[in-house]
Amino acid sequence: MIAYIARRMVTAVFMLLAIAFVTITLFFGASKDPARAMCGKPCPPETRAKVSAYMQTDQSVVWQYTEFVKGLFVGRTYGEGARQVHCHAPCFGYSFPNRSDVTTLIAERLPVTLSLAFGAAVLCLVVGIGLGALSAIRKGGIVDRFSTGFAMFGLSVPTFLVGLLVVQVFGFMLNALPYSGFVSFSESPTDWAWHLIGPWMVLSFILAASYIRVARTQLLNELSADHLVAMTARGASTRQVNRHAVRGVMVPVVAMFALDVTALLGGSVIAERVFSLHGLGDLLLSGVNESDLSIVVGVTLFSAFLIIVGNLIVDLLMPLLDPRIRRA
Amino acid sequence: MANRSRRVVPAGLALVLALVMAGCNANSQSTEPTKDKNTALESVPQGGTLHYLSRRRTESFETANAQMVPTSRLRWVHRGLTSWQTFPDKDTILVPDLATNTGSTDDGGKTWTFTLQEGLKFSDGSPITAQDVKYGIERSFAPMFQGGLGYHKTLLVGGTDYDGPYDGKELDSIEVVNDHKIVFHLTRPFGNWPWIVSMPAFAPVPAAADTEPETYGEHPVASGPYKVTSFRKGSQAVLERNPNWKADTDQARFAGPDKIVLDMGLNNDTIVQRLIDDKGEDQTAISNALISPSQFQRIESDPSISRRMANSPSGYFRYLAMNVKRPGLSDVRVRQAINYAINKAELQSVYGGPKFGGQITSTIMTPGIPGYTEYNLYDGGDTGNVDKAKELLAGADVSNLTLTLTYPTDVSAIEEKEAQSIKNSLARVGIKVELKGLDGDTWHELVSSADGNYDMTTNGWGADFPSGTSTIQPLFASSEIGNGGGNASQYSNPKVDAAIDAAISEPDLDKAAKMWAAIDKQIMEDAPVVPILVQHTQALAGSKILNYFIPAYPPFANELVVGVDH
Repeated sequence: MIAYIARRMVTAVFMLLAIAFVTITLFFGASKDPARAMCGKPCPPETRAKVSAYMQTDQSVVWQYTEFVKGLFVGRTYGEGARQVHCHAPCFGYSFPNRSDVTTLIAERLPVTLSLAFGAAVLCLVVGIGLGALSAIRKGGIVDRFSTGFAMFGLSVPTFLVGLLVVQVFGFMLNALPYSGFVSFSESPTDWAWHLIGPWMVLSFILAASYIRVARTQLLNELSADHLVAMTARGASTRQVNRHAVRGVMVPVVAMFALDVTALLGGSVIAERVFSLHGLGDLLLSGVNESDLSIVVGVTLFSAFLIIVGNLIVDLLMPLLDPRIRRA
Repeated sequence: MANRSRRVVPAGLALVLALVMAGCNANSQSTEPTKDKNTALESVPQGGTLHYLSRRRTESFETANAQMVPTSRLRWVHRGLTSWQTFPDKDTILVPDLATNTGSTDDGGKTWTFTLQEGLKFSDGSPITAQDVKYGIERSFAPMFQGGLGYHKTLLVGGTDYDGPYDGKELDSIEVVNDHKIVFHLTRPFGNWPWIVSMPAFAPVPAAADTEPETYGEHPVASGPYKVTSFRKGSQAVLERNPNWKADTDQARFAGPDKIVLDMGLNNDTIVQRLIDDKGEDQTAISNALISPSQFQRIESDPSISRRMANSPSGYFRYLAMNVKRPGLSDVRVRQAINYAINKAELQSVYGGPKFGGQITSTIMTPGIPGYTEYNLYDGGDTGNVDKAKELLAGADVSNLTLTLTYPTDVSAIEEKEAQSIKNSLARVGIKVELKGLDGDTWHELVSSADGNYDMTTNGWGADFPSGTSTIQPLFASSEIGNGGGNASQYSNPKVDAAIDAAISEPDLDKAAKMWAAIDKQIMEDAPVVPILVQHTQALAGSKILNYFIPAYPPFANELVVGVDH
């Protein structure tokens, strides 16, 4: 087991290094010049060259990459003498538009993204599995028809539309929820939740759709599986049968859930934008808009790291849930 | 401001009632001049709390790299050597701020002297001296403060090699004669220098307070009427009165509200919706949100909302640049033919019509820029003159001409429609246009590179200070071809270059204005561009906001003179 985890971790490191390289290459390939965005007005060539040299974006992609990797371990210094700025290890780069190192920026934004992901994940799991299971148990009933329609709607409607509708209806028309803003949990847990209900509703609505479908289909499959039919035939109670069926449902749900949560932790660009929440998704978007290489690479890597860890956790959990995998 | 107007964030919003079509264009066939012409208030009530809803998350009161006009919120806290007075119905003027006058020169504009008023104090009680002004400017040269309005960086002698004060070096071309007298030595005569010293970098900064430069803008020492009492990065700033500021020393600020709450990083559409709803604290709010064309109809149909919306009487210059170095377009008759051929009325409706979209124009400078004079060298009416265009093309012996038109695709959907309209216009005279939409960065690199591998591009421009120096020079001087410059027409005329140089140098700005008017026409005789629109800007304010208007220049509201009806 330990050897397995170690092997996976080594692969993960290489994968992250490859992702960093691809991100940096793509960034410069898309003729993004961070120096132009930071040059001010007017921007004569001398100024632009000076800015570019200071930000170290005048160097080749390979140089950028090696410096980036080096920065992760020993930090990075931009400029010299009293004019320098230093980015401590692990340095994901320094964002000049924000006058801050990217590690600090990610740390600042993480509480927002964590809060958003936490609530959305819990809600989506409860609603998704709950509705999915109910529809499977009463197949063809009112609940089933409602939740199948609900899932269909959730899968097909774009996030921004749901977001805008929630802001419009609950924020402006009913004046029932705040339309934007974030209050930290430590400041006031009630205000924290109060400000997040809207975005939680939106994200869980979109995400729950797939859980409803998976839970429903999976449970139906399980219930008609040979071993459960045999159990029922031998007089096992519905409760006992269901308990066995749920175990089968959990395998795909856990796999999906782990990946969804890690994706949420990487930031939800649209929900964050609609509700003026400044989490990682918003940070990444501003990095792209401002041609801020450090933010783009830093946040991309952070999200990739989460996804890799999420995958690893799923792979480790799976054998515990499903003995067949253990045997394989 | 930037050279792509659709990306420009109006730093402010606008007057509640006035929709003054000041100095408008004769081509504005369908615009009815509004009757309720407003004049600015001479003062506003003292007291109340002003709310500012900002869509920018990175709000700060850092002056070294700010790119905001002197009538913006940054200047609640900071004063400059000079500042601007704006009016809904006449041109913006330069007024002394910290200085006693707007500067003097006795060598034709190469050396400028300013004297500070006596008895001015910072919020911390220390006196505001010439040394503090010098230090503030020097900071803007530090590499960590890249960006911002940096006209002074190349104009001050030694500026290009200077890297700021943090390693103990001074910029000698900023000469502090005594506590109150400061002299600037420039690399060339520059008539608009008194306007340059109104820019953010000319705010005083006491060196002793600059211990943590990176975050100085969050808790700066104030010279203006307000000081920052609380600052939560990316979230909220609260400003309260600076007791050391004296109203009788300041011609630019009314300082009405007792308190200002600045909320940052809000969703643009949410801000607009909140201002439309006008509930609670939002009644005393202004913002920098952009109103999208889809919202105009709703606002327009409800007088309780529309009377709170300000519309700029002038605005950004929207134009079609023709690369004069390209086959076909190198012939002036072809460029003149294109000037006749364009259906500007259609483009006007693409941008939202005469009231909200903009006024059809035929000049380079826009109303509100000194020297702006109405003329039309290629008067084909608003919809163009196809016959005249065909005649010119026949005279140039041009047939079956195919041209490329490039434009950015990621700014807004309007650019695409605009390009399509131009294509349709030119099809009428037998010119085939191939549309080439590019992502914004690629597009910018292309149209600002010296090899200029394109025929035509659409573009927009807003000046940083009201002068041909900030409108004509960046777009038409041959020094601005390539290297990121704004001369997308690749227009190079030695006579025009010489005239531009003389006008930039001229310290008598009235005289300079006349020179710019002549250059405007001189350039249009060569027809390197088709002027399309003076693009309007709009903004909403809460119902309890007073004295909120957009002047002819800049196309943003003056945030320093608003009051709260409390």
